[in-house]
Amino acid sequence: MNLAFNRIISKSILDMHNLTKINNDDIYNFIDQQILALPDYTRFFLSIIANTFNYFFVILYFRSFINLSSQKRISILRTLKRNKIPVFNLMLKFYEHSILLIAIENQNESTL
Amino acid sequence: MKAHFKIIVIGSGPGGSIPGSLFAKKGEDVLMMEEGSDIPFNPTKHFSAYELQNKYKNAGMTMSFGNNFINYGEGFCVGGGSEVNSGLYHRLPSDILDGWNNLHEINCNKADLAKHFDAIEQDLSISYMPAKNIPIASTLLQTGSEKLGWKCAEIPRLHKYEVDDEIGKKQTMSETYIKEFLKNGGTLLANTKVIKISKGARNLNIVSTSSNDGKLLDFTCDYLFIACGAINTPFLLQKSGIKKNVGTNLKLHPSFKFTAMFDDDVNFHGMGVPVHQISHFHPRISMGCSISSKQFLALNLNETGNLEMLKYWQKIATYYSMICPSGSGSISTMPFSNSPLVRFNLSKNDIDNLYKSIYLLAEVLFAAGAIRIFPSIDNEISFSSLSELNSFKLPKIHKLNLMTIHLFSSMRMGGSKEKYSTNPEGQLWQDQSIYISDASILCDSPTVNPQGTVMAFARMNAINFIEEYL
Repeated sequence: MNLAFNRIISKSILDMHNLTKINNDDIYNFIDQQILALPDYTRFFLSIIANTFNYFFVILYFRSFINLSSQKRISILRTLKRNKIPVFNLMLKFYEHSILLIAIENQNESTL
Repeated sequence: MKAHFKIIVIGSGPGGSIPGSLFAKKGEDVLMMEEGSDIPFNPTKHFSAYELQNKYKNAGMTMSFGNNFINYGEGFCVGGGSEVNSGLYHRLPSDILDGWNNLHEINCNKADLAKHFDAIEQDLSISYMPAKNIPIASTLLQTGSEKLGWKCAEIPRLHKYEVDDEIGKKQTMSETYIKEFLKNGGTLLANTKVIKISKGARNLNIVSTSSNDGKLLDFTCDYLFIACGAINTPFLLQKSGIKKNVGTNLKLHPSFKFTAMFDDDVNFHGMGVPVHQISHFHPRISMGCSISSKQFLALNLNETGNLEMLKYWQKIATYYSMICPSGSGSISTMPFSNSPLVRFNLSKNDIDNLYKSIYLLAEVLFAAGAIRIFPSIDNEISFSSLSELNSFKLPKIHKLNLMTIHLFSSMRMGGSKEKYSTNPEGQLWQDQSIYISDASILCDSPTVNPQGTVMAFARMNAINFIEEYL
């Protein structure tokens, strides 16, 4: 799995939900562990989908997803979420769920 | 460490820890293996992301494929499912046992089984929650039911309250039977994955394992008890070449969720376990309140595109409706993969029941005072009245987000070796030195939370085994 992609998409999802006042390293570690824990065939398909998604934008913008500007990435994720593009939508759901879970929990702990 | 034991128990959940503790108490030479870690139960981390990652199989990201993806969760730590679930306890309804006796010829005497339920209830201090601890979100379900004239009751839990202690302590397997097991000289090996089982000299069972640090070890035993759960028990046997009637009739309880918002506060940090369930439509449909910690509410609200409502989280809780399906599924191995492929298809009747349960759950929530409900559908949608929901055409089944934590019947017990994988004592028809001691052997849906039933059968079969062989 592409580590840089995991970092960038996680950061973009955090920004998309305005979850900025938390420790990003905790989030990245959590996502890495979640990916490692996936059943092997699910991890394999996630890896293919993530790579396809990342390089798809070379055709449109001559840059991969991770090299796009932060605003552009957020706008792409919002479009993806709104239009529920098959397969990519599942990938986004995986990242979004994992990130929300750990980010909201960390937020809770810091406010308790 | 020695390599031969009289009995090896694979899995330390409710199905494994009960026989393990009984064998150790009898003074037998017994080894219990667990693939997950030995992490002490911590109530402050219960129902958290930490727990999901460390105590669930595949960090909770497992799903079955079929006419819908159904996300399922299984415990993956010493103590198994008892460490991560709500600990709600049911006996097997008597009419269901009658049906199993008639249809599957298990010849299980009701009075005998009741003795094992009694013993478990004693060991695990099955008790009701002190009234003042019951979350408001849970009692609202009772309020709604009373208005509609439906049956709704508090469900007891595996929880021990000492005198003057209203918080009490959850009676997980690691807190009870595994403690007994260790006290009586049993050997526990955590972080140890069983790769396969095979036959060796003098017909001994060989259990090949791999530990977390990559060490490969073989153990031998006279008798083997497998309690890895309804998915991983058949998967292990299939990998080991035992395939007849194995993993062919998986059943589960699919659940659909509504996140409901109320006028007043119903939720708070550390809200705990909701304990009410609506049994009015039993056995086809039951309803209850789910864990509603803020992070899990966030997931539910995000699915429906209403994450911004999380700022009112204290007014919000999650509820589920659950069906007993007639559809079934399977577990199989795949080339080049070390994970089970799980398939499950809902029948037409199940789909009808599921839609019906959605409307019923909405009805009780509005009767309880909900001002807005968010269905677990990937759609930016919410309803503020029952008529709004009634005028809305719910999407097709594959668009509903379903989940389950109740899985069973993948290796049913029964009276015929042609049709079933194990005999009514949980012994494999194909190899009588191997016993199955988990939810896999249940003949069909117990129609309630299966943990109590699994424990009662595990205890009954272990005691029969002791009487016969030890």
